[in-house]
Amino acid sequence: MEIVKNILELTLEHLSLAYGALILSIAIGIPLAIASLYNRKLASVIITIANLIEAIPSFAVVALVVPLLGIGFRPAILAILFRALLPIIKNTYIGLSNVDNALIDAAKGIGMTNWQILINIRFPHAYPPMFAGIKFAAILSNGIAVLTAIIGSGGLGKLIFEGLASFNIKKIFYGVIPVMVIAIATDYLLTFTEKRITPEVL
Amino acid sequence: MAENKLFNRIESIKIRNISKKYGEIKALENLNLAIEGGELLILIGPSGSGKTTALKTINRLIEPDNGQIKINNHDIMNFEPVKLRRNIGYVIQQIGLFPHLNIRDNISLIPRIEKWDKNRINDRVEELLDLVDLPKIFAKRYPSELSGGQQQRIGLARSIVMDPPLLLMDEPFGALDPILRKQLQIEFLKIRKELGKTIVFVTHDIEEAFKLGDRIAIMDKAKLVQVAKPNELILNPKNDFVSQLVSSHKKFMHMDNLKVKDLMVELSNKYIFESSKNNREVAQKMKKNGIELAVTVSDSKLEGIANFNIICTAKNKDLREVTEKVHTFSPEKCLSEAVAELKEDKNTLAVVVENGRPVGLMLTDKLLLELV
Ligand SMILES: Nc1ncnc2c1ncn2[C@@H]1O[C@H](COP(=O)(O)OP(=O)(O)OP(=O)(O)O)[C@@H](O)[C@H]1O
Ligand SMILES: [Mg+2]
Repeated sequence: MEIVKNILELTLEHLSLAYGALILSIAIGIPLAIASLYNRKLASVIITIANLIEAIPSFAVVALVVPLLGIGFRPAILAILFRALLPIIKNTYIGLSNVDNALIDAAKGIGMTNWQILINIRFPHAYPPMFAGIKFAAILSNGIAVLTAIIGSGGLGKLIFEGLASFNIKKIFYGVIPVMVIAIATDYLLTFTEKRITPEVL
Repeated sequence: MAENKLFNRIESIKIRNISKKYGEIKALENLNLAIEGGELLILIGPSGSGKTTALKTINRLIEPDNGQIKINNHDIMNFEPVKLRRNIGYVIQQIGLFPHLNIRDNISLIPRIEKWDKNRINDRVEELLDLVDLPKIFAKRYPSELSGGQQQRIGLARSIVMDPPLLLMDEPFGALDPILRKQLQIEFLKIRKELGKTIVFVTHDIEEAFKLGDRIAIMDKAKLVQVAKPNELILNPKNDFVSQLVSSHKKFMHMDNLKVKDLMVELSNKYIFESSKNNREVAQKMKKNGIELAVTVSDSKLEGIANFNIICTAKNKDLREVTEKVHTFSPEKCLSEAVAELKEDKNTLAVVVENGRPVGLMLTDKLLLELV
């Protein structure tokens, strides 16, 4: 019983770590993507940084956080955020800006404001790439949330690393299986949401 | 909604000395143009001559570098751009229907933003579908399910949903098959009478300009060359550029010498269908070819014509069952007689037949009808 309770606790911790970072990334990433749409300079800065950070291995990002922010749950969230933010900004920005000029011209011409064009025209077109970005960010968050156990974030990574250190195969499985279930469930949930809100014809 | 109407009708539009530069490129140079309320003014000229730029300054999609535009003596810079645009219809060549919205939602986007109630929206959509000659069931379809001509009709319906007194049209029929273009021009002339709007219409098809325009403004290299009534352009062209542009229309001045074959449009094979064919198959082919008129034959002999909309609504029947009788002429018939006959029957379309086989189409246009 003790071990079940322990797994549940660590799973909850893992979820709040991975999902907390993911939700924060969405909450910060989408407004930044919108802002880039109306500011070319910001757009080029963000895309350049995004490409740069994508080239750094996740493990290196986790390691880098320690000298800057120390160890524990919050630095871990920041490490994940750092990696998950970029695919969301990048994909949302691409989706929002890749709308046919003639459509935007028509929308302005019939008297829609920039905001109405964003909500009614740009976002429906941006959903597919935006969700692809969010899914990728979710996979990253789930994976990095395991890694951050090294810097004291807690969560399922703790079980896995302990199991690895002591050759305790059971313990490894206790950690790995919930991580896999979370990954599959997240993907399913996001696909479901995407299908619900994306217009059928797009 | 009364407070959203900037003007009930257009008395005049005065474009005064406007210029627009893109870097070193002059898109518009000192344009002066007065548009009268209720007229259909054509802007015509070669590619890059500044037609689109001029048109877009009227609804403030483009702000000129200098100069002034007044509608009913109000400087348009004093109007809020979004509000101004809701009082001016706008139709473009690429149509710009929103692919993720069905036809009803495409047409009623602005009414929904302005919070009209549902019944009012539905009534207005049905009224507009009726006006552009499309069945009501189209309201639920998506743009991709419509042919090019049908989409362009929806584009027109959307532009006038707020009943604007002014309509700007940028090559609305430019991308359509030539025969379909002529059909839509004729339809548009009918609608135009019902609407009684002021219209500024861009084209680079001189035939279209003569067919539709009350006056024609000719542009070249960012400048206005001449603006006048169609006949005046033929009689008093200001320079060689104008006389060359209108030369193809001089023949209309000597119509008595012309025969049906001089004016008919040749009928390519894609218009011709065996009347025993199934409508579903015919509709598919027509949509693919971007045409709305089928000329039906049996054993290569003309049976009649059928319209795309009707073919679409009777998909399980044979083409024969939706084929209608049509006026026919021989290619050697005198043109003025042929046009007079059509006018009397209130017809706008006839098939030219040689030895029983359809070889061409005659579509009457305004200029012809006036000359007879
Ligand atoms: N946004 C822009 N940036 C730079 N140059 C432009 C822009 N818009 C138009 N131009 C230039 O201004 C000139 C006039 O363009 P405009 O679109 O008004 O021509 P047009 O008469 O409508 O041509 P077309 O028949 O090809 O549509 C062209 O030389 C064009 O290249
Ligand atoms: Mg143009």
